Amino acid sequence: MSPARAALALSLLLPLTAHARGDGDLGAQIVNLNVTAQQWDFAQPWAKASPVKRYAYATVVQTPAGPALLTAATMVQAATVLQVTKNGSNLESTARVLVEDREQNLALVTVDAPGFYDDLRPAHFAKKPLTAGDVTLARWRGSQVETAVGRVARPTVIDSASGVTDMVTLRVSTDMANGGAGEPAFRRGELVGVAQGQLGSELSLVPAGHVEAWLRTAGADERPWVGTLGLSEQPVTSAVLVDWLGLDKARGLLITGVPQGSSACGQLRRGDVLLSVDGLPLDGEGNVEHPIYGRLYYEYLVGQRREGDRLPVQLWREGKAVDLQLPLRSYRGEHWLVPTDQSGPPPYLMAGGLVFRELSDSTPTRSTELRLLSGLQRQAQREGRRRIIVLSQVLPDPYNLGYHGQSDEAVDKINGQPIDSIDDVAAALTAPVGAHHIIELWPNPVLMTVVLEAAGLEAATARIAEAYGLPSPVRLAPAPLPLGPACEAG
Amino acid sequence: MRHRPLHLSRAFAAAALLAAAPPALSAPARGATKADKADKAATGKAAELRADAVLERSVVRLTNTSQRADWRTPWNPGRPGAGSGSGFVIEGGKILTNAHVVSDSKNLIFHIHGDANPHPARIVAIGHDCDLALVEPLEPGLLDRLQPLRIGELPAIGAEVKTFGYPVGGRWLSSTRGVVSRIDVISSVHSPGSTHLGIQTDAAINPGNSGGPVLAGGEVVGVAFQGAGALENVGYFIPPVVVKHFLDDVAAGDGYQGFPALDVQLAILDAPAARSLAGMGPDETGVRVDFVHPASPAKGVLQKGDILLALDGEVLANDGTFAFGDQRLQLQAILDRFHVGQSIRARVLRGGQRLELMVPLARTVYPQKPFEVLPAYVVYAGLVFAPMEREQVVNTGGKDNAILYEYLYRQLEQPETVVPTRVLLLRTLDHPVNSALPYQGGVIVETINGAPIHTLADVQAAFAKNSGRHHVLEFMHAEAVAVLDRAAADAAHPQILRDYAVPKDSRP
Repeated sequence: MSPARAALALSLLLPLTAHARGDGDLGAQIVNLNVTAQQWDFAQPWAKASPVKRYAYATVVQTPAGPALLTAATMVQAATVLQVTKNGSNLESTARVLVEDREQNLALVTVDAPGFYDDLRPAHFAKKPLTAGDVTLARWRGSQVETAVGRVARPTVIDSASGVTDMVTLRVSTDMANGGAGEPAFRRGELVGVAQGQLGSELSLVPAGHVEAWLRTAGADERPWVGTLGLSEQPVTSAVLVDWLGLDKARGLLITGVPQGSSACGQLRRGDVLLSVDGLPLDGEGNVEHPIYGRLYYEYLVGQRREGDRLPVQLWREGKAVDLQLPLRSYRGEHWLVPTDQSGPPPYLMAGGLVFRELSDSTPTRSTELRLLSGLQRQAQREGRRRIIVLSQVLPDPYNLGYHGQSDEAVDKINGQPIDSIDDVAAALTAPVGAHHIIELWPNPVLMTVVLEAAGLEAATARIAEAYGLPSPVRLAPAPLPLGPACEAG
Repeated sequence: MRHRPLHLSRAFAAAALLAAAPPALSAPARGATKADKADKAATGKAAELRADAVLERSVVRLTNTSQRADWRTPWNPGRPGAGSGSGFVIEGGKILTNAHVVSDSKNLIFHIHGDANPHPARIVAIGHDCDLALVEPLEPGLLDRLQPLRIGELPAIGAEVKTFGYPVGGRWLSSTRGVVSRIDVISSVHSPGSTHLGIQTDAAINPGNSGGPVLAGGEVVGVAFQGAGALENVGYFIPPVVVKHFLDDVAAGDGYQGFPALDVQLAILDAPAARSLAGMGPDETGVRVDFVHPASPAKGVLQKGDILLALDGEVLANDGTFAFGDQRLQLQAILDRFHVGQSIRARVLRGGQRLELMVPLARTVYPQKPFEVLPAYVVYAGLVFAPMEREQVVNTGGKDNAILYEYLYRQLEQPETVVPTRVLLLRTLDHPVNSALPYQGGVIVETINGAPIHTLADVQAAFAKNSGRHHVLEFMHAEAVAVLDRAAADAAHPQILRDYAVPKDSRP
């Protein structure tokens, strides 16, 4: 092509890329979401922290149940009020959350006002998966639609907002400021992704193909949870490891830990090499060749499966290839001994000024953390070990003199009863040992045992709750999830 | 006795254990501001000044060349450094100074007041726990012409004192004046975890004063030894009772034994319920024994749950202090009356019985900051192994959960599973033969080629005995496995030592 003709071709193409077909009416497909959110204050579990405002964005989509507004789940988390504005107007309509899925970081909200969707148009999903090239990010700013160009850098597998499961995202570099709040990304007028986070100039999109598949089940009452394996692995990238394992080349992941309660427990063992998942071979760093996205960490494949599915895996065990079908279990934040991603009201109990609460990743304590060691983030609950209860602080009062500085030590027993829940604390405190309550802490170099007068406890609790402004001295935990089947750790 | 003051309830326990090493001369530098205090040289002071003039000749300046190894590069002998401090002549032709003035010494010289010549000296005894040392000149009789200073008694609060020494800011003798501000049990900067009776003064004590005498009425009432960080007009000296304990210990022969400890963890009993549960009478006071270190001689005599009512006849309050004149002191000051090998009389409430027990005393079994030693290590194929000892734990800054657990918490929680020593993979000297290891260091070795590893000798034996094609290492609280090609590792080993200038592949 001659330079002159190339320039001509470019000049014809440019308007198309900058204002791709259909971008002119993007405004009818996108709305603004004004969120007021309030998190529980895990340090003062009887109170909520100061409310915060979030300005987020949503896309109109068609679901089996009718039109709805799609955004990132992190945008609506802990929302107390949701207001939607559309078409560049400041007029707010009240919305409500239909689905909030932390494992996919997607949420659907809707406005019940009649005729709300009349001047809006659902976005069309792109049929072809996007792996490279430019996209248009769009959002309302004042009375105008603001667009920004993003360039797809690479697909990548990340931890989902739940912190437990894995999901695939597209990394997009953009000069859009403060994005990642649910903005849609379009190409040629079709939806190619939803922004679920941004760090500096790097924005992360949930690909449209995933959103579309998710929408098909999103409305279901019993949405199956995403599957996880929960393994610890070691890359097989050195010649010496290949030789030691008796493999032909550097491939697969050496399994180094199989936590209790995970899908793999009872099936996979420390020392196995995970050779393939779902029919796709793993390279020495655990990547599989995905037909669309190229080399991706294998956990993404597991994240595509649901609780109850059987996942075909191939292992290298004692010099032989072994094929297994792994029944996938869900492994949610609440399943873990130290729960992650808690959003509900935190359980607690205050007795005589002593505040007990569950150890969670929202409230880690140094001394308990180092006793749980490497298993901390991957320990499932088991019988008799559902939660770790921490004496988190003491609200000083003459009744608890001697313990005013006590904080953040795990509780072993109260009045001889082992403590595994806030309910256990409440029950144990009804059965003092003679005239005393005896609270035994995990051994530590500061204080091992707290002793209180049984007689004064109730009056002190009431007085202290009043003085320190606790609306209630106790909030019990909801019924725990059923335990998974027991298995031998590998 | 535990490692920290009883009242330090919330500070993370490891903090005291892991306190950063102080500079050799610990007092903070600040401007000399006390000179004006002495300028009212009234006629009544003339006689005192003449008397001081005799005494000050016995104050010497010590210059120490120290060499302290670096526990991160344990094969190196360390960089030599010079520091100076003060000392003074006592009976027997010896010089008393601070331990930290003469620690890790390779060469020691001193200057006598008014004498321009340096004189070589050597260390006779060193007590790191009380920060005192005894030094003598190599040349016999050198100190004969000097008047030995007499060790006096504990001064009263408010008493006037004078310091003598060679602080920074000049070369010759300096004197400052102040009063006894406070008498308390204080923590040693030189020897983290050690606490003894100390005296606080507002007389300027600056770097270089360390080891110098504090005088009152012509007698030594203390040895200047440390400052107090950012505080104004706060310096500390070691009182006569601690000095005499050190000198008596040295005089008894058999090498320096040090101050005794109980090595028990005591709980404050401010809570009335805790006292009534223990069966204490309304007028009874004391502290509860929560933990007795398994290696302490108190094990088997004191028990978990005992209430310690009195020690050596001193009634203990619920916070573990005893009456000392009009004030109170922590009970460490009672233990300091005793020597290692003696027993202390303890009044104990146990199961409703009031017992009089004799508790044997020994040096603390908790690891102390080492001096005058070179770190042990083994290097094989670039993997540097070292014992999991105090200095290595300090190097992690107390931030490594696995190491801190094994070092500090396991003995509290699962004493029956404690292994006396552990070995760390300290670091890796990079080479293609070890480039694929999952950890470059900072992990505790559990097994090598299947053999449990507790000592450096275990490491050497496990590598030497292996005839397989691979060495396999497993670690505690870290799941990945390290594999080396044995033939390649053996072949690379001497080259790695040469490349990284490691003179020897082990030091026991």
